[in-house]
Amino acid sequence: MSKQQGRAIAKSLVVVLVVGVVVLALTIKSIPAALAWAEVPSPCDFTTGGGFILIAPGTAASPLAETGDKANFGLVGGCKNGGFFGHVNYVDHNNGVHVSSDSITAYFNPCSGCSPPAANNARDICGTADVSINGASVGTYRFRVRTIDAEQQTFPPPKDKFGIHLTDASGNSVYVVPTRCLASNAPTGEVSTCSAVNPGGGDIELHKPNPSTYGPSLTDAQVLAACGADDLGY
Amino acid sequence: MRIKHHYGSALTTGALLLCCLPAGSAVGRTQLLGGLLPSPTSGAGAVTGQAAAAQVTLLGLLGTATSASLASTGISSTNAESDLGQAGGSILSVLSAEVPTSATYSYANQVDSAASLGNLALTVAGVTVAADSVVAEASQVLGAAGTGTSYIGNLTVNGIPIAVTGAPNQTIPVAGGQLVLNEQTVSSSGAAVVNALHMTINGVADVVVGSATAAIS
Repeated sequence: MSKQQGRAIAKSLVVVLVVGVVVLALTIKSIPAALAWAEVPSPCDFTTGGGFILIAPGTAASPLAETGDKANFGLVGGCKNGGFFGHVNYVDHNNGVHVSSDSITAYFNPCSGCSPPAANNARDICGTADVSINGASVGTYRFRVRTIDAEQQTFPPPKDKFGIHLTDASGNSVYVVPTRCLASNAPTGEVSTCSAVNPGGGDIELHKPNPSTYGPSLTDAQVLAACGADDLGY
Repeated sequence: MRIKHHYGSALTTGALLLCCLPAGSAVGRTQLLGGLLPSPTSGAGAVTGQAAAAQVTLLGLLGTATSASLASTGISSTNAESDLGQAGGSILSVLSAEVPTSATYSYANQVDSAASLGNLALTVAGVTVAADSVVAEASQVLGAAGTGTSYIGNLTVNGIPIAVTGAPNQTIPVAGGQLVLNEQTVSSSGAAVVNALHMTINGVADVVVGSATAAIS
């Protein structure tokens, strides 16, 4: 092999290597949400929120009737001093479902490093809750609520989001409202469903992290045990 | 370290002997109603974080008053946290709401407070106020003026929809008094007090819905 041939091969290898790195970088940048990882913020932050969502018939996976009325929620969640704290309360006016937390078992970013950017302001709060229907207790269930503080983004129109999922002790889903804009009756995924002109609905606030605060790390198995399956969307 | 969770209703009642309620700042009225919360500390390193989903004071004869609050909490030191939440509650037979929630959190150099409730139903002296959601937020960073905001969803007064502009201190006259939306006060030390909804019926009642206070100096 001549020196010229050797140089040509070397140049080709460099080109292949560069292209490969670029392809890999692009792949990582656009990693689907399903492959992203859950991560307890470090240092830890906390989320507060209150407001309502609209649940149109057929958009909630629930054996209970949904008539298009609203559901109210109030929540706070975060980590401090190596543990989790918070409260979650939720009332579905369509069917009388009340969810009142009695423990918080996890708080994390469910989509660390995700695209679109809005998902980076997502936080899941998980725990166990007392659930009642029209005042009658139906037992304790595991819950996962998802909040997205979208106020930092300019496009799509900023609209905070909320979703909730209940599972029983066996991991079966008993109630799911996919993440949706506050005061919107449609699930997320479409820019047009989160109209900025839709007034009211409340607010989700992701507060800045406290440099001195850290929460426990969570494995995927621990997240699944605390929260159940992730099918809330963004 | 075990995290403390604050559960259950924060509904409390008490009778206060008061005379000649001072006219003046919203801060004064809020502190008056906040007598059930930890008193603000003073001096260097003072921290006050307070949040209440609702506070009601009913004024009686001979200057007496009865006060009660819903989901109220507070802190008075740095690196502290306190929160409350419940499925629903009512106050003194004049106010009911769902999912009242309050939280206050302090860092070494900042305090954040937030309060919210849903499905507000308030009736005092023939004035009826309703809202689908009410949220108040306040924050102060050490050395800077505090900030705050509030959100009120689908507000009506006596059944008439009210356009919430979002501007601080939007005032709406009501029979015998007034309703102030997004009431904001920042003291000379930068302490921020935000009351999402503050209704006064002269000589009858003083009601605050969604109150958040953040102060650090």
